[in-house]
Amino acid sequence: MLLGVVLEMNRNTIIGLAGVAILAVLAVAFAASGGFFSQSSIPPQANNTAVKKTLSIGTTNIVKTDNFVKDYYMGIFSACFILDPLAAVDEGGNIIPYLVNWSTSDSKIWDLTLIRNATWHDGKPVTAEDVAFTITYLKEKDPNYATHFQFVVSAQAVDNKTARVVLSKEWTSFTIGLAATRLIPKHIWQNVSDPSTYAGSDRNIGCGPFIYGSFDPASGAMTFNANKNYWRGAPSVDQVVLKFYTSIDAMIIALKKGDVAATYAYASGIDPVYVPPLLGEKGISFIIKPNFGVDNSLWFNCMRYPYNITEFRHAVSYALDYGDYVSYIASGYGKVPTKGWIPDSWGYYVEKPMLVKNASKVASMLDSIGFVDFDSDGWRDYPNGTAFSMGVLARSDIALSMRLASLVKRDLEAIGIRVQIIPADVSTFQTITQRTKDFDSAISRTTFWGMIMYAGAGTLYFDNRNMGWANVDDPEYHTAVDELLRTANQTRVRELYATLQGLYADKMYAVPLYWGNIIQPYRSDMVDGIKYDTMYGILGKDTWFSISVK
Amino acid sequence: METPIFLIKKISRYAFLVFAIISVNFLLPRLMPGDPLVFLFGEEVYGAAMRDPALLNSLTAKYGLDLPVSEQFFVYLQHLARGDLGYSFSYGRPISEIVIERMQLTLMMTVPSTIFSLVIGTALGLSLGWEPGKLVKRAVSAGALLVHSVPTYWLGMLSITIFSLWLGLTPVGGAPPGGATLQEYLSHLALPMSVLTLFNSAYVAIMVRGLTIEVSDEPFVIAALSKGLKPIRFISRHLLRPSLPPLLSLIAIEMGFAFSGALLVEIVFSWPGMGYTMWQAVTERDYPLLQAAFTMVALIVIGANAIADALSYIVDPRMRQA
Repeated sequence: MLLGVVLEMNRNTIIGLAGVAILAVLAVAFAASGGFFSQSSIPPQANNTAVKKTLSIGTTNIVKTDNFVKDYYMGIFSACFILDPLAAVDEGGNIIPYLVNWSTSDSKIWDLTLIRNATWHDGKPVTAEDVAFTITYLKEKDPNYATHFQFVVSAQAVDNKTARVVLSKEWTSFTIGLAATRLIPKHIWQNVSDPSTYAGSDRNIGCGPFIYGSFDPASGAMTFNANKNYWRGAPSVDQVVLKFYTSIDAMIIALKKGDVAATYAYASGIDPVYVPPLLGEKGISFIIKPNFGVDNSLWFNCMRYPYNITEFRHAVSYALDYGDYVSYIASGYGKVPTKGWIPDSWGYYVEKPMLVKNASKVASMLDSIGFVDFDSDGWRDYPNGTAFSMGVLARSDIALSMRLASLVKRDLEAIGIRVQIIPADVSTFQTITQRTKDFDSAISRTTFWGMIMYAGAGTLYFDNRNMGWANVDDPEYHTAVDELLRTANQTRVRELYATLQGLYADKMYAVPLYWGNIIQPYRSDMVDGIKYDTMYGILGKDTWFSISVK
Repeated sequence: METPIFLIKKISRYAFLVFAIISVNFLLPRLMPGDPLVFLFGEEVYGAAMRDPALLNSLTAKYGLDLPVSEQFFVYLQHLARGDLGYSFSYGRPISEIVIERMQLTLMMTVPSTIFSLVIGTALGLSLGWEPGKLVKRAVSAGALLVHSVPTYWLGMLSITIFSLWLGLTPVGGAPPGGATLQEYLSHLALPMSVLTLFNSAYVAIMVRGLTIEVSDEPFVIAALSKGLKPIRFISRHLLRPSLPPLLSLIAIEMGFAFSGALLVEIVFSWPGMGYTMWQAVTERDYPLLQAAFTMVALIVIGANAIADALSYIVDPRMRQA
């Protein structure tokens, strides 16, 4: 019958069919949503006898599996909710005691003393045995901790409150590992040979402010319930629901709609391009904090010609229009950096001259090292006359990174340097920059965590003996880093960071493109009292004791 | 008499295709630039780990990445023969569990959408292809082309903005939660399914319109019309039937897409189906998950094509004479 009708369709029937189709879609959506009384419009507490204060947070940091050893973002959220770290980081980037305090006389033998009356979610007390076990177990079983605890020889409980850790060498950065360490219960994990595949129901027992609730990967939701017995007291909210969004656009709509009270992205906040459209939205406010990482830098491969020439690197730095990067990439939420790469958000910041665009200086500098246009084709060539092109590796999975690469290309081509943007997803980017080292330059951000790791001040990203995006093999730089790794004297540490800032400015291993802010939008008509944590942003531990859900 | 030879030829061709696909799906992920160890170590530890041979060796051995590629392939074939799809690097779980979990979510959305789009698209395409010069039909054809040209991500965002943000009728995203009621299922399904149906209907309509136009110029169609056949008999026997073989191939392809998910629709609606899972596996270089997912989808497409071939053989006498 359908076929018969089809052929006989005239103009009116086709218009009618289109109309019916549109109405059908609307009707299905309406009926399915239960009319105006949709599931999402019913407040969660309406189903409960006691009013439950629930906070919903949207995030694009997708958890695939709720095993904090296996899943990177589960590790982050575990640290925010269910596990406590041994140490924390203050606003100045200093490591401060959290569950333990420490003492050492030689930076080789460290005594870690429990200073809180903490208990595990199953009621058992947290002891020094747990501290010693956590360090040895994670070093052996979790590759992420292999470098944090690379010099640990042994860790043993001295008494119920104190664990002694013996290192193979002086290592002042050991405390950074303590801030990274999420304490785990020995009585649960001691019999687990492979924590990355452990699926026991007790796998998420911790001693943090929230008790693990549930994870539904299909609907993209994870819940945490308040731990009334937390050593700092009960959190101010009864339950936190994390809602996972695979699209940032959809997450922003969820925020506008009020499905989530805040959005979260670890170590980055939201892309500033989303801020202007949200400014006019009623009920939406922002937490804006200086980024302790450098939002984006142009990293030179300092072991490849001509990027191993300091004058060349300086010449490139004079070609870039930093004001444009602040305007177009950071949407105005940032500032032009100085030649010193360490940003002014750091306690160890030492001021250096501001980076400026200077086309005539670029020309004279490039001319002086022989990079001139020999064949008059409009592009500068190598000193031997062959065509020169600079590769700029950029993260194809980060829209902002590709936009920035286009602006850098524009600026460099304006002074006659031909540029080829090489898009790479995260795996390819890290493989090239950290393993094969087959690149000219790269654009990437640094995280707060990366900034404090290794010898701090971003040394992780520069030193060719570590992650070393900039592939720095400079003996002067290595000497400063090595001394930082074994120096506990804070006066000397400050001097060494000043030395590093001087080297960053003089040698220009990487050009900071702009210093930005971490921007976290939230609904001020739904929630108040959010605190900002240097490591975990709005999901830091302090938030749970100051927040109020309206 | 020709039938057994035809079947043997077809079966051997499919057997070869299956082996080729298994091999290619094994090799392709490994030919991609990038390293699965980036995610196994974490981005900030990867560089240091690369300079620690003991650490590197322990992890590569744990995941079998230290074996020569040929040996990895042999082990993979052995496991596949036993029906063992392997263990995911990134999920730390058996792949069969992940595929079952994610495939259910995908099929929940794509099967109804595929059926609807085939029915709507075929009906619309037949109508648009018959006397296609009429103004209204030209306008609808242009509309179908426009809909199919619009990225599904944009269609999805538009529908979320209208139906979820402005009208508050549907959730912004996510598949139905475990233990959801029928109402919740429909509420979560409404938008992604409608967007996918709209997009695919437009495609099917464009294809069927073309086939119909092609067939309608044939002499047997004019002869059938001149006999004064009833519309239903005319359409089913003279207009639709000659178009069935290419239409069946189209259905087979659509079924393949149904199983592999609709990546952009899944992303915009935060729907963790097969498309999104495969995309994640590509990002994280999860070789075992990638090769298993690709192989499964390819086998389904081959199966659907085989069925389409068989049906074409039945409905199209020209194929039996070939």
